[in-house]
Amino acid sequence: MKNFVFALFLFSCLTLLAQKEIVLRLNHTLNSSTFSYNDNFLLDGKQNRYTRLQYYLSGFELEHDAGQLTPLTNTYVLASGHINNYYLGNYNISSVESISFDVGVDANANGGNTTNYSAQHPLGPKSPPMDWGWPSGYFFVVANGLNDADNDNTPETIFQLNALGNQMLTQIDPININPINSNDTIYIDLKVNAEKFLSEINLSTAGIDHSSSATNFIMCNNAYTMNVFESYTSTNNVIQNSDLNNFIFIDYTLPFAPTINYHFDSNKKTNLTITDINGRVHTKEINLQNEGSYFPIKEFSTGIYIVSIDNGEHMIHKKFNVVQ
Amino acid sequence: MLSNKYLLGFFVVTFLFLSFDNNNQYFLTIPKGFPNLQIPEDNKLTNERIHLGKKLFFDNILSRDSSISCASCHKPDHAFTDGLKKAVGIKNRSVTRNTPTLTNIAYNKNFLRDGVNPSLEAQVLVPIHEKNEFDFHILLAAERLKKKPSYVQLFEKAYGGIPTPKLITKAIASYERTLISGNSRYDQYIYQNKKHALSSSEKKGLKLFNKLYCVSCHSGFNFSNGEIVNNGLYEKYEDVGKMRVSLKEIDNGCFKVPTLRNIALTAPYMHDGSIQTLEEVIDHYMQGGNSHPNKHPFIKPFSLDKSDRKNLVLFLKSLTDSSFATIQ
Ligand code: HEC
Ligand code: HEC
Repeated sequence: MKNFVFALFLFSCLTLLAQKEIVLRLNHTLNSSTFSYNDNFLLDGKQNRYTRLQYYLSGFELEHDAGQLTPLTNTYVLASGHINNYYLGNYNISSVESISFDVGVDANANGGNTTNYSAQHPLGPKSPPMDWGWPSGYFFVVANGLNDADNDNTPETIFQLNALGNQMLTQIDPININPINSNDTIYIDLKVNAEKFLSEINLSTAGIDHSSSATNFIMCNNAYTMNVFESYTSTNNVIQNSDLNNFIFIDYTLPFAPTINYHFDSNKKTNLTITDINGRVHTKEINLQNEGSYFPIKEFSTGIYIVSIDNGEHMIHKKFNVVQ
Repeated sequence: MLSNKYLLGFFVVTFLFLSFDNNNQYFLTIPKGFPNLQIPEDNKLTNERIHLGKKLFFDNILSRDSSISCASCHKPDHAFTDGLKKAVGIKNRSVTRNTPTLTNIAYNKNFLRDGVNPSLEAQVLVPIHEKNEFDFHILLAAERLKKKPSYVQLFEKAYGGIPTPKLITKAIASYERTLISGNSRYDQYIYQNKKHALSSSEKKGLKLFNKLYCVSCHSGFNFSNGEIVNNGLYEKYEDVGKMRVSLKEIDNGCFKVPTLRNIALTAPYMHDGSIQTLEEVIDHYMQGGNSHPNKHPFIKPFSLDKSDRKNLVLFLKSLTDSSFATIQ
């Protein structure tokens, strides 16, 4: 008996040792340049800009270790244009060959209620909201931005495509990958051609569309037909130490409670501080990820605030305003 | 012998524990003629939960500028409606629809005028997030409540936890499940064997209600079959009803068949509050509604003489439960 328990103990240790952390790395691009909320990108002869790009991925399946298939049940990713790294879980996997998934949320989870999950869970309450309060159900893809309807080379016309409804779920066939293995982590690198979500859509006239419309269906379907997701060999495996691509971008979907989108290229932890113009500190957070969407769960009065984020090497600031 | 003593002790402890639990459990009084109400396993009714939900329902704390509560639109003395054509939210913002009654709301299988929301719990988020109602965020609402020691205590008592989005929606839904109305004079006549509860005109009206096609949609103990249909209100609908979610043309102008209980208290009528009085509602149906490809085949023209029209209205008015309208 004792021997058996010991063997079991050894076995569990070994399996734990064999487990690897699987990280999905979504390298968002706009016409093959690094994704940014501040730069225009050309699509169908017109200039455009994203102010928000978020979408759900679910139904993951990994092919690994010479053809074994492992579905990652109950794994959901809420992806944002400026965030690359998404933790998928720990598995007994030593090498990954391909990944398949769906864009959107499966019907079962989609019929549920955000409040059944914590705010940290991808399906939990989000700000800006990822669920449509009225019918319940998640936005599968949210693509908000500006389009240059008047052809003066400056995007000015708002488009807000928030797709919802079970029929929007879009299957992505297995994508072969060249995983990057470190000791305990497998990085699955994909290139995300973010502009392609918007192919074949007249953005000058799309307007504000939070529904299961034909336009939103095209957008979701583009994920498959236009190959929004492609295999990608990461070239910058070496951690960069430049502040060129560090940025803060404020999401004003809720003008009374803006969300702070930020990204640092280096994977060092970051600290975030929000002060008002008199220098009074309102929020202080330490050890945040190097990239994220930070929603201060706090009521600010109308006014101008400054958010500063530093990672020990670089510090960036941004002003934002709150309108109550 | 010793073990028996232990056993006895165990039973006593268990009994005490169970009876303590029973003290908290709330048993709904189901009116005669009503089916039992299904309560979700994970949100059983207790006095503490209902008390907390009620406090939240009447508290301005859930709206962004703390100016209105659920009860600003769902007023008890109007059978939980507001008497307005269309609802008005914070900063006098106009909502696109008329406030529906919450009479027997827990017996509904789907929620909102077009039935697109799946549960009472999920529905709570709608007014909180809707720009023209509370224009707030559930995470910020929970944060506000966490700062109020009185609420922290009530949440602890009701659910054994601090205020969270999940518990806010559960508590309010618990309160809404108690909004049961089944003591109108109609109920006294039909279910409580009080032969004289309805006047002879009202009895004639009841016969008409059954003989005309009203009862095929406004059916059963709650005067609703729960279906989402087009009752021919318009030739062209500004608010397309269920179609706004399904985008299917067959859902154009389709709305939930509302209960007619307490109907005398809930004017104006229809999803947009476009009909002022019950007399005008009858006129709408007498004309067979407006022509619309989706108009339900039941809706056909009919004629009533003046006294029949009056009797039908009198019957509808007998559906008022005055004890419900005065609950606080
Ligand atoms: C500004 C007015 C207003 C406020 C405040 C408001 N409601 Fe409503 N309520 C409405 C309107 C209008 C509808 C119908 C909406 C629709 O059909 O799209 C409605 C619908 C509902 C329904 C669905 C009824 C049915 O028949 O399906 C419920 C339940 C409800 N409200 C509960 C609440 C609760 C709980 C609160 C507070 C958290 C609240 N309401 C706050 C106006 C309001
Ligand atoms: C085909 C199904 C159907 C039939 C038959 C029907 N109704 Fe309705 N009724 C509805 C629907 C659906 C609504 C809600 C329409 C809306 O919200 O715009 C409604 C609304 C009403 C309302 C207003 C309720 C409110 O709270 O706003 C009254 C009163 C009413 N009906 C009475 C009657 C009477 C009396 C008859 C018979 C002459 C009748 N109905 C027949 C489907 C029906």
